[in-house]
Amino acid sequence: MVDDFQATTQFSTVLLFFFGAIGFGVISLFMNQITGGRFPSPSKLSTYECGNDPHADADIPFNFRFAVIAVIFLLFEIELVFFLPWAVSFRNLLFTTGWPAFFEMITFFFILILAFVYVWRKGGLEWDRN
Amino acid sequence: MKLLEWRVRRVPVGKISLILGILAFVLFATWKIWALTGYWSLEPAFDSIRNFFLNLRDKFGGPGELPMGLYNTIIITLKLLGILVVLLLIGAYSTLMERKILAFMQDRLGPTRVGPRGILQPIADGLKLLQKECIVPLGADRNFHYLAPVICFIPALMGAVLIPFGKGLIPVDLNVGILYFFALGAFGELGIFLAAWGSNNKYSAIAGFRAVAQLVSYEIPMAFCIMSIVLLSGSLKIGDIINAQIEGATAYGGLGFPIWFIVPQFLGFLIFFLSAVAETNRTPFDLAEAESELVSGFHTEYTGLRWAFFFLAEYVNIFIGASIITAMYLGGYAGPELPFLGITLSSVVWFCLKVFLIFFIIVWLRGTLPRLRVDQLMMLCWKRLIPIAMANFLLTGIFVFANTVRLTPQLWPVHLENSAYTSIAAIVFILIAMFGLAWFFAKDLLKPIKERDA
Repeated sequence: MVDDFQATTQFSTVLLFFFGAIGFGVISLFMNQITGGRFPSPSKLSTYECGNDPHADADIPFNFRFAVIAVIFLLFEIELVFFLPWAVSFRNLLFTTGWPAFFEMITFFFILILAFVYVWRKGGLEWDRN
Repeated sequence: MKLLEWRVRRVPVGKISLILGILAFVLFATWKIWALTGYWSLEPAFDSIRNFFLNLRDKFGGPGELPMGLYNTIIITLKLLGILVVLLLIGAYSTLMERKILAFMQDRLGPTRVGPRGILQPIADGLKLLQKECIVPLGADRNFHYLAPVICFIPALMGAVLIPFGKGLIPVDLNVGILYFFALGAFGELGIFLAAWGSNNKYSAIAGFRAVAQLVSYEIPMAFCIMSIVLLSGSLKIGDIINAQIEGATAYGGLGFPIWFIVPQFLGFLIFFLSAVAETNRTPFDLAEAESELVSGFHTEYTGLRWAFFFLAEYVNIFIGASIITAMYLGGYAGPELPFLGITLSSVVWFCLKVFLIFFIIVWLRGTLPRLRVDQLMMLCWKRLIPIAMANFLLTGIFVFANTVRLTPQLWPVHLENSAYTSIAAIVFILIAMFGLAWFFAKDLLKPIKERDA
C-alpha cells in the first residue's frame, strides 16, 4: 500500500515534469516567434543545399542495411524484456527455486547467442558500401 | 537597447489564446491530480481519474480539504522549478566549459570578451538566439518541425528526476529508475528523427537514418551493461544501486563487501561510457550532426531558440549520462566527509567532482579523436561492443550466482534434488556452446577493423 502510494506520487511528479517540459518549450519557442519577427523571402525559405537551388524533395531512398539493423535490434530488445526482470529478482529466485533460476536463463541466453552468431555468419552485420 | 529591440509585425491573437487555454487546462489538470495524490492512497490510475471528476462534482465551490495535497503540490512544483533552473544553468555553462577546455587543448584562449574571462558568454549567446527569426523551410512538415525541439527537450528534463545530486537529494527515486533512463533514451531518438524527417532537407534525412541506426544499435551494449549492474545490485533504483556500492550489504543485494562497481565491472564501464557518448551524439560518434559532411545534420534547417533547444537537450543529456555513469560505476555521491561541510554538502561536492571528471573525458575525446565512418561505427557496436558486453553479462551472472551460493548454505549442491538433472544438462550444453563461441570470437575479434575493408 505504501509502495503503491509512493509510486503514484513519484509518477505524478514525472507527469508534472512532462507537462513542465512541454510548457517551458512551448512558451520559450513562442517568445522566440515574437522577438524573432517574421521577414520571409523566397531564398530564405528555400531548403539549404550549399547555396544551390534545391533539387527535389527529401524523400530519398535509403540503404537497406538500416532495415536489417532494425530487425536485428528487435531480437535484442525482446531479449532485454526477458532479461531485466530476471536480473532484478535473480537472488530471490535463487532462494525460492534453486539453481534452475540460473541455468534456465543461461540456456535461453545461449540460444540468443546462437541466433546472433547465425546473423553474423550470414553477413547480416556487414555494411557493404555499394 | 538594441539587444532587446522587439520587431513585432503582427500578433496572432487566436493562436495565443488557444495556446494559453490549453496551458491553463493542462496546469489545472495536473494540479488537481497532484492534489489528489496527497490524501488518497490511489490504487490504479483510472481510479484517480474517476475520483478526480467525482471530487470536482462534490466539492465544487466548497472549501476543499487539501492541505496535504497542497503541500505535495508545492513541493513538487518547487522541485520542478529548481531542476529546470539547474538544468538551464548546466546546459548553458557546459557549452562554455567545453569551449574553454577545447581552447586549452588547442593552445588558445576561448571566449574572453563577454564578462570577466568570458563568464557571461552563454547568456549573451542565449539573448542572441532569442532575437533570431524562426524559419520553417518550404516543403517542410510544419508540425514535425515545430514539435521536434520540444520532443528532444522533454526526455532531457524528465531524465533529470533521476540524478542523485547528493545523499538524500535524488529528486524522485523511481522504483524503475534505470529502466526509466533507458526508456527516455528511446524517446530522444524520436525527437531527432522527427527533426530530420520534418525538415525536407537531404542532409537532414541522411542524418536521421544514421542517427536512428546508431542510437538503436548502441542501446544494446548499454542494456547489457545495465543488466550486469542490476545483477550486482539487485535493484533498479538509483538509490539502491549507490547504497549497494557504499555499504555492500546484502540487504541491498550488494556483493557482501563495499566496492565501487567500476572494479568488478571495468569492461562494463568502458562499454557503457562509449555507448553513452554515442547515444548523446558526441564526437567521435557524431555522425548524425557531422558538420563537415552533413552540414550539422538533423538541425541544418533550424534557427534561433529551436536550434538552441537541441543543444540544450544534448548538453543536459550528457550531464544525465555522466550522472548515471557516476551512480552506476563510481559510487554516486560516495566519498569521505570533507572538513567544514556537512555530510550532505560534501556528498554533493563528490558527486559534482565525479560528474565533471566524466564530462572532461567526453570533451577530451572530442578534442582528440577524428570522426568514425558509418560502417566503422556500426561494426564497432555490433562486432566489438555487443559480444564483449554479452560476455561481461554472462561472467557477471556466473559471479553473482557463485557468490550467492557461497553466502547461503541452503543452496549448496548437497541439497539439490529435483533440479540436479536440469543443471547437469545445462552445464554440458554451456560447455559445448562456450567452446564453440570461444573458437568463433577468438578467430574474428583478433582481426583489426582495417583488414576487413580491404
